[in-house]
Amino acid sequence: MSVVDSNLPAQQTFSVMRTVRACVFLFRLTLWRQIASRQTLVNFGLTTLCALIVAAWSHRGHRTAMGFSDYMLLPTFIGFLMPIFAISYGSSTIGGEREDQSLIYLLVTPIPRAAIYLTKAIAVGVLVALWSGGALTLLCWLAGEPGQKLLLVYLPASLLGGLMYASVFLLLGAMFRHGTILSLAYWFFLEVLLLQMPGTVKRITVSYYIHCMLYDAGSSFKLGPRNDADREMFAGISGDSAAIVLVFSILGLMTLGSYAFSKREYTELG
Amino acid sequence: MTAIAESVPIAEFENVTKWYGPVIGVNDVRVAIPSGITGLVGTNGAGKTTLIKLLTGHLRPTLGQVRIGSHDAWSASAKQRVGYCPEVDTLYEEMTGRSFLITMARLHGWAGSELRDRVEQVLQQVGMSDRADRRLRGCSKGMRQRIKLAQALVHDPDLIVVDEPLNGVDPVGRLELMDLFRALADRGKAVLVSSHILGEMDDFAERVIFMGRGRVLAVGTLAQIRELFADMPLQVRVICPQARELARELMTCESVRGVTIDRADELSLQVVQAAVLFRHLAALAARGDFDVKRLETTDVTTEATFGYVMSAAAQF
Amino acid sequence: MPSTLEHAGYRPWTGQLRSPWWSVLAIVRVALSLIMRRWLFWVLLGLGLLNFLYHFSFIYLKATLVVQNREFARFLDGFKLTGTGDAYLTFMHVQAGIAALLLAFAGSMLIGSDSQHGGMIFYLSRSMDRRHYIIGKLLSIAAVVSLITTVPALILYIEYGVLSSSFDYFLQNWRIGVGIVGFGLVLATVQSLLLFAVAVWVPRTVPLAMTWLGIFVLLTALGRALREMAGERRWLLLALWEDMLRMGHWAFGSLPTDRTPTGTETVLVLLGVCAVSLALIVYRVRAVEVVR
Repeated sequence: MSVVDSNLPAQQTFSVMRTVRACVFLFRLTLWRQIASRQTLVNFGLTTLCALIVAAWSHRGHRTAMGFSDYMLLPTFIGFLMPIFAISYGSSTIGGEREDQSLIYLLVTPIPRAAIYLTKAIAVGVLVALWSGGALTLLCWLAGEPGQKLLLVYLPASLLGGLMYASVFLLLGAMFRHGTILSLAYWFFLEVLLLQMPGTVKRITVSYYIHCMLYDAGSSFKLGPRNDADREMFAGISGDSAAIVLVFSILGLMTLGSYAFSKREYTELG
Repeated sequence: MTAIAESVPIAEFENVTKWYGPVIGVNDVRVAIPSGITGLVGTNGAGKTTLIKLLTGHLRPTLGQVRIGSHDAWSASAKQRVGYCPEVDTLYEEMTGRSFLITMARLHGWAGSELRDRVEQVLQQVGMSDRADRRLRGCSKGMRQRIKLAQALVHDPDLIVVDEPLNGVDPVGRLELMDLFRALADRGKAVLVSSHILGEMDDFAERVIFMGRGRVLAVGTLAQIRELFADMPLQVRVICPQARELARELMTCESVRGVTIDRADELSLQVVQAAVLFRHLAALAARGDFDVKRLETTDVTTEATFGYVMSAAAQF
Repeated sequence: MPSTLEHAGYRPWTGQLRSPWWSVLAIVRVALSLIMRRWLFWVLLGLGLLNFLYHFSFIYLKATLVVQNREFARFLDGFKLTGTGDAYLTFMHVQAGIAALLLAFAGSMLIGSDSQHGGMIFYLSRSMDRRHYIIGKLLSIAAVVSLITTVPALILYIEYGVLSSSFDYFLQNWRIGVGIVGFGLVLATVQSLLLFAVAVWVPRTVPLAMTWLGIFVLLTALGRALREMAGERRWLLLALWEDMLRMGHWAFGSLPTDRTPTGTETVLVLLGVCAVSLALIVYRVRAVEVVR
C-alpha cells in the first residue's frame, strides 16, 4: 500500500520563516500568559512584603552595606525571593500547562519540540531576569546608601542565579508530573542541606556559585565568611569561575531540556 | 479481517505496537486512513486513545511506524497536516474563542490577512461566528466543543482527528457538525472520528475501524464488514400489504432461514445469502404478485456489526 | 418494572445509615491512600526522615558508648542532641520545616485538586455536609504533619528510654512525652488550618507553594525587621513559625515567663490565625459553585 503526499498548497509548506514566526509568537504568548497568571500576583505580594521588611530595616540607626547584605539581601532576596521568582515561572511554564492539560495545544503545532522548549526557556529567562533585577533594584533603593552600594555587586549574581534556578525548575517541570514539588524539595531542602556541608559536595548547588560571585564582587564591603574556619568550611572559588560555571550550566541545562522535551511522551495529555 | 481502502491513504500504521511498560496499548496494528470519514469504534481499553495519540504524534510506537503522508507522525512536519480535536475539555481559558483560534493559527505559522480570513472562515464553519468573542471560561460545553473543533481545522490540515466530537452538542448542532464532517470529506480530507455512540457512526462514517484488546479487529464499510460474517443470518425487514402470502412464498426460498410476521404488513427475515433473496424478491415483484413497499437490512448498523465483530473476536 | 430490576440484582436498601461523622474517617482514609500512592510522597518522606535517622543512630551510638566508655559519653552529652526536652523540641521544629515542604505537595493534591477538578462536589453530593468534609481534610493534613514530626519524636523518646539502664527515664521525663504530644498538636492544628485556607483560595500548585512558603519565611523576616525598627518585641508575633516554637516551649515547660511575647499573647495570635483560616475555609467550601 503506497502512501503519497498530497500536493500541499503553497501557504501550507512550513518553511523556516514560518517556524521562526511561530516561535516568536510562542515567545510572546508565553510571556503574556505567565504575566497574566496568579504567580505574578503572588510575586507582587511577596515583593511588597520584602520591600516592607527592607523599609523597616532602613529605619535602623546604624546601617552598613555588610549589615544590609547579611541580614536582608542574602536571606530574604538571594535565599528566598529570587528562587521563588524562578519557581513561579520556571515550574509553571511547562509544568503548569501539563497540570491543566493545555500543553496539548502546543504539541500539536508543527513547531519542533526542541524549539518549543528553547522558546519557553528564553521567555522564562526574560521574566525571571526582569523580576530579579527589578526587585533587587527596589530593595536596594529602599535601603538607601548601603543598598545603592550593593546594587551592582548583587546584580550579576542575581541575574545569573535566577536564570540558573529557572533552567533547573523548567527542566524539572517538563520532566516530572510534580515538577513544582520536586523543585521545592531541591531548593528548600537539598540546596540548604548541601550548602552547609563541609568539603566540595556543595559545588553541586546553585547557591554556592551565587555566594562565590557575591563574596568576590563584594570583597571591598567585607562580604563573605568572617573567620578562617568559616572560609575553610565554605571553600569558595573565584567569582569569575563561578560565573563561568553558571553560564555553562545554564546552556547545558537548556540543551539537555530541549533534547529531553523533544523525546518525552506525555501520556496523560489528550 | 481487513476490507479494502478505496483511495490513497493520508495516514498509515505499519505493524505498529505500543507498550506502556508491561501493558500493551496497541498490538501489531496495520491500517490505512484514506480521505473520507472513518469511524473508530471499540470498547474501553480497546486501544482507540493510543491509536489516536500515535497518529497525532503524542506517542511514538515501540515497534513499527506511523506515517502521515511521507512523514513520521512524531515529526514536526507531519503535524502541519494533522488537526487534532482532543476529548479533554481544556482550552486557554482566559482567551476568547476568536483569540484562541488566532493563537492556534499563529502557532501554525499563519499571519496577516490570510490568518484573519481563515479564522473567520473556520468560525463560520463551526457555527461560532456570532459567539466567538465570549471568554472560553464562560462558554457552554457545546460552544467549547465547537471551538476545539475549529482549532483542529484552522491550519487547513489533510487529516482531522476528532475524539468524541459530539459530546455536549445539542441535536441541531450535531447535525451541523455531521454536515461539516461530510463537507470536509467531500473536499478530500480524511476525518477520523472516535466515538462511543455507535448510532452516530451510521449517520456519517463511510468506513469504520473496529478495535478490541489493542488490535484492529475489522476495517471497511459496514456492508463490507457485515459480508465477512456470511454464516451469520442477515436480518431483513420487508414492508408489503400481502405479508402473509409473501411469507408463505419466501419459506420456499432456500436462502431464507426464518420468517417472522411482525405486523399485518411487515415481515422480518433471517437470510444467509442475501443476493439470492434479493433476486427472488425482484422476480416476485416484477410478476406483480406482491407490492413490496420497502426492503431494508436492519443489522448493517455499526452497533449490530460491532456486536458480530466482538463475538467473533471473543472466539480467538 | 420491579421484577426486572430484581433480576438485574438490584435490591432495596434495608440497612441503617450510620452517622455522617463516620464519613470523616473515609475521607481521611481516601486522602492518605491518594497521597501515599505517589512516589514523590515517599521521596519527600524519605528526605524528611534523614534527620530522624541521624538522631536515631546518635542515640544508639551514645547508648553503646555509655557502656563502653563513660568519658566519651559525657563528651557526647555536650551536643544536646538527645534525651532532653530541648533536643526533642529542636528536632520537631526542624522536622516541621520539612513538613512544610511535604504539605505544599499534600495541599495541592488533597485540597487544590478538589477545588479545581470537582472533587469537592463529589464529596458534598454525598449524605454529609461541609463540616464533615472540612474536618476530614484537616485530619488528613494533620496526619501528614504528625507522621513527620510527632511520630518520629515519640519513637526517639521511646528509643532513648529503652536504651537506658532502667525505665526511670520515662518516670523522670514524663513531661517530655507530654511536650512532644502537645507541640505536635499545635503544629498539626495550625499548619492544617493554614494550609487548607491557602489551598482552597490558591488551588494551583505553583502559586500555592509560593504563598505557603512565603507566609512562613517572609512573615518571620518582617517580624524581626519591625521589632528592630520599633524596638517592640511583640512584632515577633508576626512570625508564625516562631509562635509555634514558643508554644512548643510552653508544652515542654521551658517557656520563660518574664519575656514578651508571652505565652498568652502567642496563644491569642495562633487562635486568631486559626479562626481566620477557618472562616476562609468555610466561606470557600461550597457544594454549589456560582458561575458569573
